[in-house]
Amino acid sequence: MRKNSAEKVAYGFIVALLALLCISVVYPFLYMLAISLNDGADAARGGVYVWPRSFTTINYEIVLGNEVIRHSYLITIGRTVLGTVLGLFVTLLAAYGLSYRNLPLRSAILAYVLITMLFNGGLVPFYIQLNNMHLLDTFWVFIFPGLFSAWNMFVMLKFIQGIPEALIESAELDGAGPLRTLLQIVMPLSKPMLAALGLFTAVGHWNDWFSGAFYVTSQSLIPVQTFLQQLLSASDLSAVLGSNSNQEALARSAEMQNITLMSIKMAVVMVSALPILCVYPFLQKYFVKGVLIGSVKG
Amino acid sequence: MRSIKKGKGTVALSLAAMLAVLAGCSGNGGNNANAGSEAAGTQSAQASASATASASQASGDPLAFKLWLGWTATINNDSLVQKYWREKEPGVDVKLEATQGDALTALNLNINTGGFDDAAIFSRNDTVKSAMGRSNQIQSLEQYFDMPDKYPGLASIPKQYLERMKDKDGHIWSIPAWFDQNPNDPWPGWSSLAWTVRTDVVEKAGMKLEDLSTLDGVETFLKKAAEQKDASGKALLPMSFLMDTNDTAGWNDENAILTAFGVSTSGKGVAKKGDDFVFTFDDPQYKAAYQWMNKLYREKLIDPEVVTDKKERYKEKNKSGRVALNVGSFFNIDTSLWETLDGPTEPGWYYQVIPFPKVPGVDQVGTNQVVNPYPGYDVYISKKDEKSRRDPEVLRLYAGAEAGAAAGHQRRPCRPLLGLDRSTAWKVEIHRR
Repeated sequence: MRKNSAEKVAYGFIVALLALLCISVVYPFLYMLAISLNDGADAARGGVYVWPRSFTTINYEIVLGNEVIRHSYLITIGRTVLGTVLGLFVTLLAAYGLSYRNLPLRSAILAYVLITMLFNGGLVPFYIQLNNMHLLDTFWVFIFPGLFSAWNMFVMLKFIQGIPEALIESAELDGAGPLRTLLQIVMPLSKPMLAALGLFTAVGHWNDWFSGAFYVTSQSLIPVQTFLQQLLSASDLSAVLGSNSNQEALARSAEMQNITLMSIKMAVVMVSALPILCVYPFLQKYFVKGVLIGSVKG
Repeated sequence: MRSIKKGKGTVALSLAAMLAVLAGCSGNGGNNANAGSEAAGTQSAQASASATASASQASGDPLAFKLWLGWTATINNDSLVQKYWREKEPGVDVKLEATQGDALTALNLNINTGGFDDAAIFSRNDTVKSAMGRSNQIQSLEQYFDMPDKYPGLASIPKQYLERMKDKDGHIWSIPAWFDQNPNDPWPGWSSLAWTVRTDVVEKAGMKLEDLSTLDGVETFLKKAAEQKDASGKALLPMSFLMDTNDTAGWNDENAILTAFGVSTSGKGVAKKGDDFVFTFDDPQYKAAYQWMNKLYREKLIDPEVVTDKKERYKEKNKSGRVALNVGSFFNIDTSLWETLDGPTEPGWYYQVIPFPKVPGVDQVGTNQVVNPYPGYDVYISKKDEKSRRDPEVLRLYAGAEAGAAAGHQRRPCRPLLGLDRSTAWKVEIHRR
């Protein structure tokens, strides 16, 4: 269909606006990447905006050689994987159970869950609860509180209710119990929804710095985002350089004189943000499907 | 095909689960980080946790002691100092812990869940003090300050500090830290704000340091310095200072110029001149100082980027020898510039402090630093802590020389450790230079 001139102008305007929006989102990352790949002292002179002027990988060598960061990464990856998998599974169990319309007290349970989604006791009661459960200063404080999500449960519930009942009935007729029906009928059909919710859950775990800041005190348990927060408020390089396993080699390197805190901070930001960004393309197709799948009833 | 995919999926899931369990069950083995942001405070906390030989040494097991730091810090519980305390003397296994978030929120949470173990150190704060008091989780300590035979360190704390800490019942609920041993004459003799000049540039300009004793002399020097070139062939920046308000040292460098003009910049912005109290901004010399700075800026005798430079940029210029005269805090120049030098291999070697230049009509340099000798930190002892009930000396500074040496590497070497005389810390720092 041919567009008239007004439509072309409007189209051009929309494209320009979206391009501007895209640049405003992408540019900060580009800037941080450029600084992180640039010699620190050279970057401090200014003028590095899009491309590194004096390319070096020393900032990443320092960051990735840092034992605290490596351990923080392990914690973050562990909590993201375990927290996402277990969280989805536990929530799915609840959603599947509540999808049975003839479940006794179903309305009351749903109302109870809804109330917990809308209201909460606040930080201090939650902290007291974690303390009473002996979760403080343990790795499991990152996992257990997030095992059940009320919001995700409602989304899953609606999705499961959208699965044709005939499928479930036929499985039951063939002798499948509820668990088998869940694992072999419902779960495979719920992949798009699980992928979408899994992505949100994983991103939540990956980006969470709060629990690392207040619920743990051991240095060995802080996730990478909490360490990043520490580093961003640091005033010198001792927080990073002191814990490097290769600091002797670094000390001999002439490049060490040109290291600045800013370039190290940028490298840490990149190292902590890029992995989760890379997950998005793999889940993109599920994400789109998951959003649309409940919208058209056949 | 499906079975291969299923197999791969199972393997991937198992690997992920194993990784997660590994992370969850990992201990303190990889914990090698350095003490971080409040480095001096952390060092003082480490120093504070030393103990005299106690009953626990008889059993051979080190006495475990937990000290909670009321600020964000990267903790290293395997430092050389802690190892020495644990393995050699006094046989105390000190474990530091810190919050990574807001300290007051963390305190609130801790108090609501039974309180902290052993001891906690916070910067002096009424909110912290009242929260600790209301929690009923700390023990009173007033009896330990009057036992010079048993606890000479605690008894040596000046009584005027302790008097102000007593509540209406006469209880003292914390051990004061970071104070001056001489409350009537704290921190004698030096300030961090200075005029620092490169002697090599002075020599090349054909002048002597004495020529810079007046404002006119300084201007003459700056004009001659502007004609010189640095190692990379660029014209020298005659004068520079740090105007970034986010600098870590917290001192405003322009105050060094203002005080040369007789303006007092310390305290609350009010100075007594004769019988009158004059606000800083009302002092005509305040305007005169900025007029002078503006004049130099227009004549390109001040680095044109001084208004926008961040601290790293300022330090980079100093390090590469581009600046002839630095005005302001020597901490902002970054003391590592000359601390690590063994000879005239870098521009930092030539840095020399000169007296504040005489400004016409000004009889006395203004005050730019007021030292508060009163304690800046408080150490609270938990009621749960039996160890300190036996040996509150565990909280006293162990050895002046070692504490001073520890202070020497800090970003602010003048910041004393617990109870250490500030002048002693400075003397140690001079010695190390």
